[in-house]
Amino acid sequence: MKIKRYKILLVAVGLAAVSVAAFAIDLGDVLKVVGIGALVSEFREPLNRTINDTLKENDAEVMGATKVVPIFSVGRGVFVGAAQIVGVPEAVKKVQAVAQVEIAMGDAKLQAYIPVSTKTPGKNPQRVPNVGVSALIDIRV
Amino acid sequence: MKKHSRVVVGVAALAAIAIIGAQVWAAIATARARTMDGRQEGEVLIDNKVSLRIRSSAGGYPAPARAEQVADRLNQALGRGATWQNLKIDRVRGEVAVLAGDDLIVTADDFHARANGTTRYGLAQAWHANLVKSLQALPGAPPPPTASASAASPAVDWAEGGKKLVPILSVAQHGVRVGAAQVVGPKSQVEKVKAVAQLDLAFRDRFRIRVYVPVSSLSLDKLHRVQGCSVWAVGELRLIKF
Repeated sequence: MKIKRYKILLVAVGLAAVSVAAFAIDLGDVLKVVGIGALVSEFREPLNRTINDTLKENDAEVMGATKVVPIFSVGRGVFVGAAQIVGVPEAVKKVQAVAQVEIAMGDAKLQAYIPVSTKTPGKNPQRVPNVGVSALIDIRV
Repeated sequence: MKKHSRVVVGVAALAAIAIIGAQVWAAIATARARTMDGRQEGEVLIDNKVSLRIRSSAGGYPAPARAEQVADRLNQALGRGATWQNLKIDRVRGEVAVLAGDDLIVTADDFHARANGTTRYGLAQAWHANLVKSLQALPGAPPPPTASASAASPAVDWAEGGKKLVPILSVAQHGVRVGAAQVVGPKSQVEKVKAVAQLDLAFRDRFRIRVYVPVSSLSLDKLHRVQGCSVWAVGELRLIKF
């Protein structure tokens, strides 16, 4: 009888551990989606200014419009950071996010950053032309 | 005696024409003050149409006084024979500015750049474009360039035609290669890019920023930015196969 109770308890603890682990993963993703999105929204202006000021100090100011937007990982389906984009003012206005995709180029393994006009791009993001990435921003959530 | 008086009359007539001419030029650019949300602003008008708005003070001058200064400078430049073709963007004592030939017209400042969501260069470009448009509309102004001529203008072109894989060099680590980047931009500009300089910054303990500057030299003592180019892919480059 006692052994049966222990078994039930063990199974219950195991199930609880599994669900906690699963919840933790979901919670991490949720934090990334909500947290990074919120942080980028809140700090986009000061981040943009800091980058532009640094470029100015280094006599490397960019001739074009700039903006900070979140980076969306197409593979993982979550926000993974932020990017400062640069380019033609009209095109920069259209950009809502940057889609991150992995590409192989000979011996090089590159992370490509595609400026897109939607906040959560699909598997085949449509690029906003004449805009590129000027800075990548890692965010600790 | 008669000859002498004719010469005097001729000189006087020429002087009158010169004065009238100068007054005509002087009337081209004007300035006026206005109040927006309780704040004094200045407007620069060309041929009675608003060309620029100055929203903040700078260098000890309130916004309306700055607008007057810009209008005066424009009139002086026009009086010296400048046209829209002489307008350009350049640096004056480290600041980005719009000039007519070598004459300063207006300095692109941080306040206006931020208010317009752009950089000082972006602002200078916008102001330059406004002034060019206004001066092109003046009677007797040189005609605007044809489509083929404007394609060859020195203005920054972000249209993508070229791609190139170059090393990323860390500025903090004095040029150590820290990866590879693919840069994109107009072919002629991409050809100039030798590397991408990486500047590392931290912001509020929560953000780590890597700023990428396409440069035309492998020496990072001074960053020689290639305008119109940007990065679209970064990564690690395996140099040796095992």
